[in-house]
Amino acid sequence: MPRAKLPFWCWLIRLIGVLVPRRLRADWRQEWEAELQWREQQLADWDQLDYQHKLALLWHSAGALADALWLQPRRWEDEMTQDLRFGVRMLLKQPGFALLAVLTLALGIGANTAIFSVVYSVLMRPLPYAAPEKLMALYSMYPERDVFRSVISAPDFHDWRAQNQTFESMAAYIGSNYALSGGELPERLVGLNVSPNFFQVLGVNPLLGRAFAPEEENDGRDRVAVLSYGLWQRRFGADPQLVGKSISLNGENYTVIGVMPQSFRFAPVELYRPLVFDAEDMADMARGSHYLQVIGRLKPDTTLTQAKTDLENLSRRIAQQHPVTNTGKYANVIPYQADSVGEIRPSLLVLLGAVVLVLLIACANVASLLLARAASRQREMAVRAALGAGRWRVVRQLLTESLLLSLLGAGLGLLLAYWGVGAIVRAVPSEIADYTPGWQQIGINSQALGFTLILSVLTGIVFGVAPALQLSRPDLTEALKEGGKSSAGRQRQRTRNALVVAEVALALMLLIGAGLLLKSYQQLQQVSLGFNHQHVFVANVALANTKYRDTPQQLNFFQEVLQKVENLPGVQSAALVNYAPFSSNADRVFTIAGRPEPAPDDIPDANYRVISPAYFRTLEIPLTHGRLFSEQDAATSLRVVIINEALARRYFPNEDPLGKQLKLGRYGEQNPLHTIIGVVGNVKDIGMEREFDPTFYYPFTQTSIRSGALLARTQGDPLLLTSPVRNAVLAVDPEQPLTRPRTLALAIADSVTQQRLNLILLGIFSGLALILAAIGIYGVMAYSVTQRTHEIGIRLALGAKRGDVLKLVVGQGMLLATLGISIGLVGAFFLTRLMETLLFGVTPTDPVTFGCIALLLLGIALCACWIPAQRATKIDPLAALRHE
Amino acid sequence: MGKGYLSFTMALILQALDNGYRYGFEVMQVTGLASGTVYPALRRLEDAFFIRSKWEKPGVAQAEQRPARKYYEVTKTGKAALVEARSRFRVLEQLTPPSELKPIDEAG
Repeated sequence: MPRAKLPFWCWLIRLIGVLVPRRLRADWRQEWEAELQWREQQLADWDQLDYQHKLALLWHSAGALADALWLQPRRWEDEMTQDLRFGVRMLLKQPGFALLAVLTLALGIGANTAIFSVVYSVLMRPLPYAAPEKLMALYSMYPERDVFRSVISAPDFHDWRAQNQTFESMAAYIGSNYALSGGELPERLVGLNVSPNFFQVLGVNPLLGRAFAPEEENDGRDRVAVLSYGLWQRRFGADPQLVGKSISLNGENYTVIGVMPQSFRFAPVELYRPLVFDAEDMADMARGSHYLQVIGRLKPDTTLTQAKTDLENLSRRIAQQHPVTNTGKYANVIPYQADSVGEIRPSLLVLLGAVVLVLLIACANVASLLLARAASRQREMAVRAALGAGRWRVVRQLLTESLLLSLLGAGLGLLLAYWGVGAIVRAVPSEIADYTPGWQQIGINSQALGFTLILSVLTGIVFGVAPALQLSRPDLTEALKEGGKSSAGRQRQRTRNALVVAEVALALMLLIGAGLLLKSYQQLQQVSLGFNHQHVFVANVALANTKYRDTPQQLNFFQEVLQKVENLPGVQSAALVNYAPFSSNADRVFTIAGRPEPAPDDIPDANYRVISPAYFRTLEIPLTHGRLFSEQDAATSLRVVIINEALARRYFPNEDPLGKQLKLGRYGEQNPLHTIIGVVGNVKDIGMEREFDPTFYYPFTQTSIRSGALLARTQGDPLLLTSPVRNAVLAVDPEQPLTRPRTLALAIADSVTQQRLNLILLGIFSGLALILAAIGIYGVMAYSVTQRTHEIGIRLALGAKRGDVLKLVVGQGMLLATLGISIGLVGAFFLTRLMETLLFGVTPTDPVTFGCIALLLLGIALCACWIPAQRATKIDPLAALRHE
Repeated sequence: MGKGYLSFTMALILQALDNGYRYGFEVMQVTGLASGTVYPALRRLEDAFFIRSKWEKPGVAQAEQRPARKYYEVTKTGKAALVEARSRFRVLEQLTPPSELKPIDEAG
């Protein structure tokens, strides 16, 4: 039966069929057309093919639209599976290439994930307090003296709290320690004395019991304590009935009123007690005695700028009322989170920048590899194009292969990152770890995984897109020709050359960064400390103020202990000091007798040390002139003091300080005068990076000292003295604990741990970059030699010497390297300023470092070119001439 | 579609196929569902291996000068799923038993 024209519904089916994925289209159309045609035939047979039934048929055929839409996902599935399968086959065919690419990407992506994990946890994760962005750290600052984060005096704190208009609440806190007795061994606990509203300011509730009540800051009502979760578990077996019971601290009973949750880690302390101020703490003169830290919460609708202005005005008003103690002193407000990571933030940001550069180099390498492979795939691409594959389709295929590589690299990279993060966390000493919020939570968490996924997709696109676009360009006739160099091939070579230049430049920048850090670290190591830090044992002793109420008792205790320790076998000398080197510091203002009252912003100030006579001998600090303390400087004799050279130079520049007198405190204060009897050499005992500070030393017989550090110089390993010294202390007082036994050398090494860690990490990353860049150069040169075999063969046949060929190849490679190094030098010149805060004793544009690194890279590039160049010289001209 | 979970519409269509209405159009007529519902459902059932599709023998179609039609058969898995669905939708048990079936492509 001839059909004159196509049925009406056929057009609709054809139209809708355009939507159906190509692979399924034929079957789909046949199914629909068969059904509809059959129905139409049936109706025709029954003579019912009228207007209504025709409309019904049309309506049925419209249902094809829903069907076609339903099949859409298959289009992607099919083509994606096709692409994936093909991609996997291609990689398996060339396992060497795939392995190299995946490894390269794994290194780049893994390093990024590791650093990101650290950065996220430390810098980005919000603190576990209510509205953490409203929490502010407050400090006293003295802008004219360049001091911005100093501790706060009690009267100042109370005025700030009472008279500000921008803060909802403020709380003060200060470290303390307590001897916990009862049960087994007595134990020294590190605690925090806090304002009663401290926990409310942070917005944290105790796990058990309650926080402090406002009246508990009054003397007499303050015999309460809140425990940390760790202490509760460790010492009290997580007893759920502990709240309400009493514990013995410093020999007195305190009631436990609460326990903090496990996640609360404001500071590494185990105990919280109310901060009590007595009348003396609040007196006017006490405004000059600074020791508190303060945290505050802004009102919900106030900004940081408003708070700063408010406190600045408030500080001015206070200075007007109390000019002696408060001139030039202002309140400083810093967001709490930024403040607590301030030390470590620059390092982390520099490391983040470094790993991004490493990843870029890795991408360049893989892109270069892909371009090298491109030549062998040109025919495949041409055939695809001839068979009708659109350019976009081909690009998608190639991008799928790139994504496959980068996802595989990311998988391996995650493994590397996991180890890397573990190593970083372990390598950081507890001083940084305990005080950096978020440090405990560093790990490969879901944010790091998400980051890795996004990064690997971006990476795949970055290194895949250029080769994909290049390769998919239809250049059919040229490609299908046998052999010969196409213009596309030349362009690929140019691109690869450009990639190598970029790699070399980036690697140079990283290496210069590492070189600068290395030089910094060396400078730090060479800093002369002014004393001999080897073989010295240090431990802390803090006397309970309830047991040793007055000065003679304290003095007696220490003198007995020192005598016992000096008599221990192996101990050459022993001493006591209020602040051990590289632990803590206190400075005091002082007044020199016989001089007019100094201007308010020019008051003399020096580090304050209280020592036993053997201190200088124990640390081997030299005496410059005068004499040291001896038995004749007892409590009742002439009051004496020793100063260091820095103090002598600053305050007695043109006169002999011996015999002059000074006293603690300001001009008008009634403090005893001490006579200067000696001048000693300068020591750096706070930090390596600080200059020598003026320091004065008081004999412990003539002032009071309740807590300090015991030092003992020995010939062997200082840690062996731990037990003997502890026993010596217990022999004098069986309830007196000795805390933090350590060696001085270790304390000093710890103080530069952060620099060491920076150096190691940046060293690793720049080493990676160097290896990747060297591989990149080698790859390009090797390939170039292969491509130029024919040309080299001709040259050799025409009489060129092997040496000339060598020069040719090496020359090409070195040209690329030199170009890269030049660009890298310029880039480094601008970028190294960003790491200025990490450097010590070296400028960011130190020419020696720049020069040495450039030469190093030049040498490495030469080595990378050498092997391909050697191969080039060994080319047999006859074979080469036959080679296409 | 999870194994064994059949919606009522799916179960209805599967029941119709099991009852011998093997072509898409017949399922449409017998269930009263629209073509836009039936055909996607058929695809889903096929994805879940509850039914399989076959083309008519070419000879038959050629003789009548029309394209070969696609028909569907219920698989063993499909039959099991249908039994489970019948226990959930009791009304399915009461639909036309196969023995009294007359194929609708007989004229009349």
